[in-house]
Amino acid sequence: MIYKLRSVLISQRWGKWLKPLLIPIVLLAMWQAWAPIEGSASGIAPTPSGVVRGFWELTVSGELPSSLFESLTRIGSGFCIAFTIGVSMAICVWYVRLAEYLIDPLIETFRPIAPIAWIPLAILWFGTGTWAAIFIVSYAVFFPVFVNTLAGLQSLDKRLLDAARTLGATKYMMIRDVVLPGALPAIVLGGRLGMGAGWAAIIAAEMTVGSKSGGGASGGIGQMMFIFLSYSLELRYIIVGMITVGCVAYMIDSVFRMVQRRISPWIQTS
Amino acid sequence: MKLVCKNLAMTFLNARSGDRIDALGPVDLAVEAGEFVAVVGPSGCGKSTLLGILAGLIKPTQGEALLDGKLITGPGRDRGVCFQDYALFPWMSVLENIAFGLKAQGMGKEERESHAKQLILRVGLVGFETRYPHELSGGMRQRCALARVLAVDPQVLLMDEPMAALDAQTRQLMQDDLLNVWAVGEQKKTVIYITHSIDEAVYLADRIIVMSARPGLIKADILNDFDRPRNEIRTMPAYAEQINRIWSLIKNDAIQAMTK
Repeated sequence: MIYKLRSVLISQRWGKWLKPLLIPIVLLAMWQAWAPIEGSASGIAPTPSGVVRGFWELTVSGELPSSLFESLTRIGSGFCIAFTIGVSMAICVWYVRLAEYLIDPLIETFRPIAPIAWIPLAILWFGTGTWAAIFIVSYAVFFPVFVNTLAGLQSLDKRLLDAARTLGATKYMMIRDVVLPGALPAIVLGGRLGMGAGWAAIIAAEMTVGSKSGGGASGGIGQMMFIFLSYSLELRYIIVGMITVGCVAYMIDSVFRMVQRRISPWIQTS
Repeated sequence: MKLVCKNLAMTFLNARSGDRIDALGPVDLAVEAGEFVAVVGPSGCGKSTLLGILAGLIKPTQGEALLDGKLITGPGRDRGVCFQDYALFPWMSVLENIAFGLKAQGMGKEERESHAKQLILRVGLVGFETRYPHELSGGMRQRCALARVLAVDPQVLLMDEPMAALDAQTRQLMQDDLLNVWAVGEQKKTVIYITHSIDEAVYLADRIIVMSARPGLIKADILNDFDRPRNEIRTMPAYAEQINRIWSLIKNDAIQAMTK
């Protein structure tokens, strides 16, 4: 029977779409069957159908879309800030060799400190609310952006720089037409990784910091999930949050990957 | 005298280990305008270092290199360089690569693109203007690199084993292409051509400099004045004799370089 299934999957056109979904479908079916056995419908183990209902309810009430929008604007702002700072700093450090000795120890000291460790300070400085969340996000995004940009600059093929100089390139042309395009794949990779780190950080940050009173229409998805955890035991809503977070992260990552492929067709992207 | 090297020498210092490597010299060399000079020698004899100094990419630790009597202090478009691996900008199309030097001169887009198209015609890359280097074959990349250098019309061409990465058949064709491009115009360019291949040197050059093993010194300066065009010389006995003559000069050094 397995062989028959396999041949169906390969031969039929819709088999192509079904193949990657096969295991998730089986797992979902198992989950649906298991949940009612363990506990009540919306108790300890929410069922897939319960989660789907949760999606519907939260979307209709507007809570999911507005929270998602809030989180996205925060991560967007944080990303823009951190990306600009990160890339500029990396270019400076690369250009001024001495700066590397001065800046590197600082960077390497702070990089391992998890973004959420900054939450208490962030609240002290920015209050609970949007700006604290943006600070945490910026912190998280900065390091991958900086490290990757610097690595990209340092791994530029020296031959290309030599060739540009022998062709009479001005300093301005060197930066604009040789250095930046050459380092661009690494910069985009840094952005992609930074975005991933930022998205993870925002959820954690919003769970503690995001607040309706701190500005912004709502407290973001992290806040939404936290409220559901502490004030009602609607676990299915939390799972809705988790799935939303995962899907959005995947979509953002896909966008970056697409950008990576488009700007550097001569490089194989993972 | 177009190019002069006076007592030129280069010692590399390894900052970490403190080792000093006497890569080149001292070397005295004089090249006239329009001469095609090939430089051959065993591996590690400093040929590329010599080229790097002439290109202005390396500062010699001793002596000086002069172009038209003026000291060479840095790279410039008066000395075009063809690198061994072509060093084409991967993010630029063929047209943009070739137009790069013209852009550096401040030429407008229309003008430099039409200039570049003329060169594309000259090197035989018509139809590939919008392709990217990674889409080209080795021979095409070589031609693109050559066109890029010729675009800025340098008086001197410094070529570091430009055909080394090509297969034997393409290499033969490209050698003829190079000679055709070089021979065009009232004023032939001065060429310094580094190669490992002795038969390539004999086929292309007016003059062959033979270098010894490290530290590279000029072992012999041989006149190679076969008549041009040279399409038929490969069948001439004098061709093989010249190759053997040069090989016998290099052979012992080459064996030493291999076993060291």
